[in-house]
Amino acid sequence: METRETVHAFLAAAIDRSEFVRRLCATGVTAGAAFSFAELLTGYRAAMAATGSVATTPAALAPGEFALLEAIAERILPTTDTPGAREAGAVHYIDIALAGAYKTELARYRSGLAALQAHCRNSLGGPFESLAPDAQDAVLVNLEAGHLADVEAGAPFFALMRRHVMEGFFCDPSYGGNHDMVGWKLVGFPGAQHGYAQPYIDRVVDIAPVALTNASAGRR
Amino acid sequence: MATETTDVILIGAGAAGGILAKQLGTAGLKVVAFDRGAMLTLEDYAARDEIKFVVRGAQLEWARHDPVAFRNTPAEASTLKYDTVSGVGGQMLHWTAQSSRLLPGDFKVATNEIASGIADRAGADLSGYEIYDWPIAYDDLEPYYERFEWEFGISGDSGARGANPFAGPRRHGFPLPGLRTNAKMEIFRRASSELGYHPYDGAAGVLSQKYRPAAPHDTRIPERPACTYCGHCNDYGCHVQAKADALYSIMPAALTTGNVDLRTNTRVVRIDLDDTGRAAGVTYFTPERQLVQLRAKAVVLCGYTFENSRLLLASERKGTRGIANSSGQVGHGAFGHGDVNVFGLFDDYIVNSFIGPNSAATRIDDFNGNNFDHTGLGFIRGAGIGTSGSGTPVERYNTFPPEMRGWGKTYKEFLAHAYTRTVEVNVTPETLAHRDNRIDLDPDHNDDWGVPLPRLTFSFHQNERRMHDHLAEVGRTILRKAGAKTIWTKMPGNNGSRWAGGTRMGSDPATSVVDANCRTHDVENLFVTGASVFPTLTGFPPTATVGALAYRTADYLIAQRDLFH
Repeated sequence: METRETVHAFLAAAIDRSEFVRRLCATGVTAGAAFSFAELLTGYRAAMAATGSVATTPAALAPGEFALLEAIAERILPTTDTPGAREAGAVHYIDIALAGAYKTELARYRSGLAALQAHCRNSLGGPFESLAPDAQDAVLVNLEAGHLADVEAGAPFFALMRRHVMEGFFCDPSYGGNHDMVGWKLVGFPGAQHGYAQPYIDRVVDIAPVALTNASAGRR
Repeated sequence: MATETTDVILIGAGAAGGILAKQLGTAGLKVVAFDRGAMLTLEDYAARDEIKFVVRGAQLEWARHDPVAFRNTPAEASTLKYDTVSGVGGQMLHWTAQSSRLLPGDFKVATNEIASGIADRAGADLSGYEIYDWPIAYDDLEPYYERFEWEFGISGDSGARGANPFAGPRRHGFPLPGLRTNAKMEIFRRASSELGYHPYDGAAGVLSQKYRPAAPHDTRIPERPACTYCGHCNDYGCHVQAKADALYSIMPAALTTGNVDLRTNTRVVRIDLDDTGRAAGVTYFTPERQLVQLRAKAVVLCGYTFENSRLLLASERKGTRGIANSSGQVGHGAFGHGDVNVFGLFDDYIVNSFIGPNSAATRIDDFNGNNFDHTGLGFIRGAGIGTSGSGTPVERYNTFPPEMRGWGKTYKEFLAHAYTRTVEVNVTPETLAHRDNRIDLDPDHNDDWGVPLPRLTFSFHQNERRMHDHLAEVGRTILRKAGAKTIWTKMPGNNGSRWAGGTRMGSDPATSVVDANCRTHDVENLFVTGASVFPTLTGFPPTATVGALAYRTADYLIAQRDLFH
């Protein structure tokens, strides 16, 4: 495969990052290559943003894995009359973490998501995303209880996903989740305030939430 | 190359080591203080970043080099635990900052509860327990508690809102007024008063006003600002340094003496004895991994609980079982609290638990120590009970009743409603020393420097289990009285927190490792201080007592001129 093709395949999110690097090396690309990958990527993201598409390529998960995990996260914290995991970008948080701080968990996600999807296809007639919400919940109830024989260590895998979805819902937005602080707004938490001028006993804290980057700006 | 020498070696630069460094350096002794961790800066520890510090444990990053092996029973394989902070300041970098003096009776459990017949009347089964009195009493520590409170800046109510009738006498009040009260404190106070208990506002190692000690206390300690009530407190460093920590209050004063040589990122691997059995000094790795020796006239172990026992055991000489261990007691009597947490949901009342430090708390000691009638209860001792429950949402999403499924629409609605409306009552039950609970050297794992890991074998036993059940009901009673609509309880698993013991203090060399002055019975110029010397755990966090003991040990060392001629 040509270098340029490899890069385009990556940008189109058809391959993951390690596969990209492997293929890039296989094409013999050198520091003297006639194009800048960073420039290509920047241009691609700008174009995607301009067309209103999702402007990000998964950092660690394959696109299919990302989509499946989003569907699971939607059942963990569903969108109702208030935002849920999807609006918070909880899976975006997880994806970023799996490329960094949680990279040792990536293989667990890979195998767990694949086994869960295989279970749905084999036993329920289609991928998880195609099931009705109640059927999706039933799958997850069984997964959480460790009752899916074809998903190894399903209970701890569900616990891991749940934990990470919750982190992605309530984290500081700088970590890629809790977009627009929807998680904090849902529960009434004002964020990384420098402090509170009064006790706020017996009443809602009626101040706008503040994220860490905003909170620390101007205080350094 | 000539071996370097100094007067005193301190191993560990946390609360105890920081205090000793300052006191000894001020007295003119040359001190070398080792710490295996770093000297952290504000950026390292102080962002109000719950993912970094609570979820991912950035302060515990160092522990990956040197975890603790844990198992409940000798029959089990150990798992590695990574929850000890390293670095200058030690555990004070993430403490809750509840600054409690022990009660006078806490020092004399064997005399008061066993010899007196109380245990028999309680119907307590104390088989397997190893219970000893402290060789010192409350009055011995009182002046040193005071020094700790005035140097570190402890905020406390001096009785205006109700004194603790069980507390020991104090010569002076607190240097600072109590912290601002909050809704959970008012709820707890009202309910426990109505039940006939004696609520008081606990003392906190968090500044209620800006503070710098005035004479006769140490005026070299830098001024620090008042708490902002940001709520990122327990498990965090403080972003304005209002929370007491040796790192930025005591250590700067220690370094101004010119006599304190602080060596961070070093690993002491062994205490060396000379031919006469005295401590000659230590062998340690420099940050560049050079193995070198330092000689000294006295050596003081000031590490966290596990490290003190471990270094004594790891300094083994041929044919011995570690040093300072003629009693065979090194590592014995290890204990931690098995906290019981009771939660109450107040549908009609906003509590906003995320505001303010968790150390701003109202407590009762009506069920602590021997303050209540144990007849027929089946256990001795008790717990401090008080308000708790700070935390950002990412730290609190598992706070929901056990019958609820922890995901889905109902759970999401519960979080939206309950996060600002849940009050938590924290019970800190005393764990008694048991012969099966001990620290030894792990035969299977070494740290990055080749020293065997400390291995903790620990389970709660019959006295703890009965006490946990009884006191959980007390917590539920308080929340019912307060009007909570939904109440649920989180019992401790078979693992503790706030670890202490292992180098027991006592007057009998057959059953203890150090004497009343924290000097080892076996080695006249070797001392151990920190929570590892506690003979009994008590129903309080250990830090204020660790501080008081360190000041007292420093005074004793300074008076031992024969060690330093």
